[in-house]
Amino acid sequence: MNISREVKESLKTSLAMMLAYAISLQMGWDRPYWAGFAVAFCSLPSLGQSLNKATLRMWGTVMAAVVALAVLSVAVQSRWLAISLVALWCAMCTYMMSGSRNPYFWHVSGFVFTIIVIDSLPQPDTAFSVATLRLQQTALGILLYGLVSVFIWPYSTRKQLRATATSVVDAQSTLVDAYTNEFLGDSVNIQAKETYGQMLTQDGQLSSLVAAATTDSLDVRDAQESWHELLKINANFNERLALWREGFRDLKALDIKTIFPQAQAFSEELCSRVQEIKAINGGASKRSNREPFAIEIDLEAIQTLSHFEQAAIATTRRDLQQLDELSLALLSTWQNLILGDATKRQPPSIESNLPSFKPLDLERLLASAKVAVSLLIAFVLVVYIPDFPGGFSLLATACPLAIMLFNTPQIPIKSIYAPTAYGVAFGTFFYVLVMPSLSSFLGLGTMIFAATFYLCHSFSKPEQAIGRMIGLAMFLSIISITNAQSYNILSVTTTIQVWFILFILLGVIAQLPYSPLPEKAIFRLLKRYFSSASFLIAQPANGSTDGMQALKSAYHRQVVSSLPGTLSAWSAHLNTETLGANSTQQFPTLLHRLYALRYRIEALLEARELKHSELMREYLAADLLEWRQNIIARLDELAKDPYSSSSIERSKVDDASHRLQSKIRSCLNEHPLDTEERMSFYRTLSAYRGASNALLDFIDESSHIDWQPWREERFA
Amino acid sequence: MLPLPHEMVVGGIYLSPLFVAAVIGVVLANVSGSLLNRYRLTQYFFYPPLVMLSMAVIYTLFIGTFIFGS
Repeated sequence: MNISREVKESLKTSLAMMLAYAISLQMGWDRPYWAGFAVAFCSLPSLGQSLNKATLRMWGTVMAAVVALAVLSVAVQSRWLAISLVALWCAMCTYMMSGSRNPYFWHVSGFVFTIIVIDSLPQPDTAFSVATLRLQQTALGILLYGLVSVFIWPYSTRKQLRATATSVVDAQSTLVDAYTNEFLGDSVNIQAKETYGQMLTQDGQLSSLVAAATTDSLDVRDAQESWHELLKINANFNERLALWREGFRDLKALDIKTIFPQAQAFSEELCSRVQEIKAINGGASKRSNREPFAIEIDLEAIQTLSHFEQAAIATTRRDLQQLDELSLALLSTWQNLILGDATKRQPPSIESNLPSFKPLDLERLLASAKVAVSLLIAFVLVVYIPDFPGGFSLLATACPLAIMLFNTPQIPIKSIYAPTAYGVAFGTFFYVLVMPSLSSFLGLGTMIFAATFYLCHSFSKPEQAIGRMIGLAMFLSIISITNAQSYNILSVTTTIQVWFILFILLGVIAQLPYSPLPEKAIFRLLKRYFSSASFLIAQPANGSTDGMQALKSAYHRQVVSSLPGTLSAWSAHLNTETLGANSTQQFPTLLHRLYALRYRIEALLEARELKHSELMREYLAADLLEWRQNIIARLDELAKDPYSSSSIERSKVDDASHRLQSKIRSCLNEHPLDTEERMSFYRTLSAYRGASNALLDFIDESSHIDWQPWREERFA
Repeated sequence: MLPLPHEMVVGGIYLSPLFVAAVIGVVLANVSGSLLNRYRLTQYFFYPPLVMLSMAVIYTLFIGTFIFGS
């Protein structure tokens, strides 16, 4: 009999849920629904993903229990101190969650801590038993789901990991083919931009799949260092590929095959390396031994070129050298992973503009503040309004939801109304009409199995995962099974009231201080992006020794490098109906321009820190300063209003280029530079021009979008 | 004369008048917000999130005072 994957996964979760209740009730443990929650939240499509999440849930619970007992030991006499510490800890967990490789660990640490503290405040002597009960119920739930997943229809993450890795390699192969053809002036592949976007998405998934596969696949676990190295090299290779492609515009008028005599051979070699990676992924066992490629420039051929063209060639040569080293490192890592030990090649060291420490992130701070405020308001409501529905359970319910929702502000609160209502209605049906007629665990177990199966199967699509978890959690909360079962309709109505109040509370806080509408969030983030870019370019070269200035610089570098990704997450939630289909379809292209600008700004910052000839620096200081000020002026305009559709003046950039060219020519005639100084100088020149062009490209693309609907105020 | 505050009875379950007024107030504020969005009248507000909150409070007070009693 051919059973679908959805049915198999639903059956596994249902069986684990039924067993969790059976053992918990048999052992006489209180609150068996805590074990049920562990099963519901750890049931993921593959064994590795489930085990990874289960491990994080367990460690998060241990951490929460330890911190909760410590907090209770000092704050048990003062409710205000206790709630302040709860708000502080949850705010910290929220902040840590979005920057961590293990966000679920911090999520669990936050809300389990709140549950233990809130539960123990009325009777502090029960604190230890509440903490241990939570630990044992969580351990029971994840142990049972783990065992069921291992023994019944186990689905290893390795297959999914290999499939995603193969898709990434296929996309890399397509891109390398397309880019090398474009580089040699043969043809332009208009699909390449789309392929690059898809590849970045799949590359992002690889990291979580590697983490999951290390828990369910021995071979992935043994080679986890190589996998992590592969992720790093892959990200650098993809970024360098994009940077190389961005430079093609400056090479359009040039005869590449003459300037780079080995261009054709290098392109073929690069394609062949990626093809070999593809073949290894496809099962080929042939190992080749490749050597680095020397990329030479025909110096005679570039004598007659302008300085800007020579600068573009110097930058391209550097990109090609980096691609050469990265592709070799990528190939050797793949060979090492799939074909066994090989001579490992060290990847090239890529200079990073990012600071070694992580500066504070404003969006994460905002999420933390919202979580703390939600908990404090909930506390005030419960304390000051007599007979508040649910009492302190409002805080325990608010915490997990607040941390989740404020950390992913792109997901509107409205999206969880339906699964919550569904779970409540479903649970109420069983609680009122079915459970009172049951008299043994045979009936109860069958009911738990059938209801869990129905919910899991109804929400079996990957995009319905949150709905499934909330639905199951609501169902388990409503039926509230215990050994001494009693029925009271008031417990159902109180739960409903608590959730109503919670939605109102979180709905209000989500709107403050900024509108949660995607177009408003994008406006705000773009302003921040341009303001940070302007700050960085206005900074003097070679950084500052002042501590505060270095901190500011680190913060702005972090903003410029991370915001395009955040904007990409927001753009997926733009409303086509209100903003217009054309502008929402054009926005990804604008985002692509923003990524290009990011690379160019980073290249400019990198180039400005190179060692330059003092003479050249003095000679051109005034012109480069003027150029820089023009870029800053444009960035400042955009920082004031990123949705402006101003016209672009490429002629101004061309005029400035011509002026600078003649000055460089006269300077070089008087004082020739050595090769290293020449290369540094050309890289800087190319970086200036690249940043200007990327900025103008952004403005050009932006002028095609009708921003009027985006500016219009609207209720969320 | 304003009505005296009294609990709401739904299927034999007594609910706080403030709770019912708040729920109806928020629902009405959302309905008003959708209508204002639909007819593009929201653009005349300086800060819509605060307007939505104010509407919810006004509706809640209005219903609480004149329908259930406060």
